[in-house]
Amino acid sequence: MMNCQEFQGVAQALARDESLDVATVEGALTHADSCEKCDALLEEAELLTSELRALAARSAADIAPVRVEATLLAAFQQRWEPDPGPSHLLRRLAGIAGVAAAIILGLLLIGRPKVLLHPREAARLTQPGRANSPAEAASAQPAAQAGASDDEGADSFVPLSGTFDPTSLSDDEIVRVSLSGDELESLGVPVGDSGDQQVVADLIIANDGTPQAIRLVGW
Amino acid sequence: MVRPITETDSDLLRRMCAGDEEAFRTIYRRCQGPVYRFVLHMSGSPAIAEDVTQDVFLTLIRDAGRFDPSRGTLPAYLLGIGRNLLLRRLEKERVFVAFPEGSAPDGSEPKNNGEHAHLVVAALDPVRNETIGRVRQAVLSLPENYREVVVLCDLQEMSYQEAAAVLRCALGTVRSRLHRGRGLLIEKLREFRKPGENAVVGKAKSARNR
Repeated sequence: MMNCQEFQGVAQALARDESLDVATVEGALTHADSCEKCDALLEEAELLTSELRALAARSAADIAPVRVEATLLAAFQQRWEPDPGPSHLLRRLAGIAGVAAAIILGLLLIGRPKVLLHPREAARLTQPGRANSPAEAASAQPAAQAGASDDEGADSFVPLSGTFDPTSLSDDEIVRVSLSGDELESLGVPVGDSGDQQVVADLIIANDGTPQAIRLVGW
Repeated sequence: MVRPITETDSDLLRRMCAGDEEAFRTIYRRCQGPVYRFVLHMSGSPAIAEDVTQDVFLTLIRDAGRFDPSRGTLPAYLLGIGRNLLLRRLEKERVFVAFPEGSAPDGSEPKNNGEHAHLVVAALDPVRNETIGRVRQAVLSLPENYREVVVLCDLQEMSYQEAAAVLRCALGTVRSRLHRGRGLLIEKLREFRKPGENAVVGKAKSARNR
């Protein structure tokens, strides 16, 4: 049979309906029946359990105010939003610069020889009174076709575009190219029977990449 | 995207760590109640409970990677954070017992400013409310180490094992502290109890299957 000390060791567990072995429960209850003090203790422990359960039930609906969730969601969004700081901008700029450098390098590697034309020279070369059409230029400038130097050939620049403006050549450039007869014809320059030959020519290229004027150098 | 209703805390945490706001919201809604109530029972202050609950989840947002599933569940982990934050705050402010605002001298329910979800139904059963208020005060008057096990095991209905994970102590420690804490509660409530009120005990006794 259980004594008072042993009973006090299991009284709280008994009052909380914890899973105890059958022998322990029977021993404790038998002791409580025969011991007034321990019986009172068990009654108080059981009352405490019911009162704590009542308090727990009363508190079950207690939750944090809605503003806490709102604050936390804002903090979460801030934690995960992209960093708009200077380092981010620098990274973007570095990326753009890298792409630009790659394009320039590619053009240098695959591009043909070119000569930059000073704007004043270009303006001089395209003065009024010179040939106005590619056909006229091609037929009127045999010396250039015979392999004139850059300086001599400068007189033979012929506008290819109706919008060609010699005074706005500051950003344009001259590119020396080798063109087939068909390519020359596509630019509006008649080549007659020499369609299979490669013709060396200088082209004035606008910023948007369109040819503005042509100078035949030789073939 | 359709997600299973019973998504585990670990799955949610993984998504949260990838920036999924919905996952964080679900974790918060699952776990904030126990954290808030634990702090409220421990401090008696809705304001402290609110602050600590917020800080617990801010900690999770900042450093979710510190959660180790092998050491316990996510709710236990969050309760552990809440406990540490609370003890630090109590240590600092020395706020232990009694509801600082709206606490009636007879131990009845603390008033609420309406922003908290705390239910106030005092008018319905004043005797019962008075009893609950006394129990609440008695719990608050316990030493912290006993109070926390009573709150976790009796008010939050956690197992010894879960409580041990929160408190980072041995299971036997939880058991012995609960035994001692309940003994202290009985003593305190005995003082509060009016003469003849023990007749209520008879109800518990008659309910016992003997």
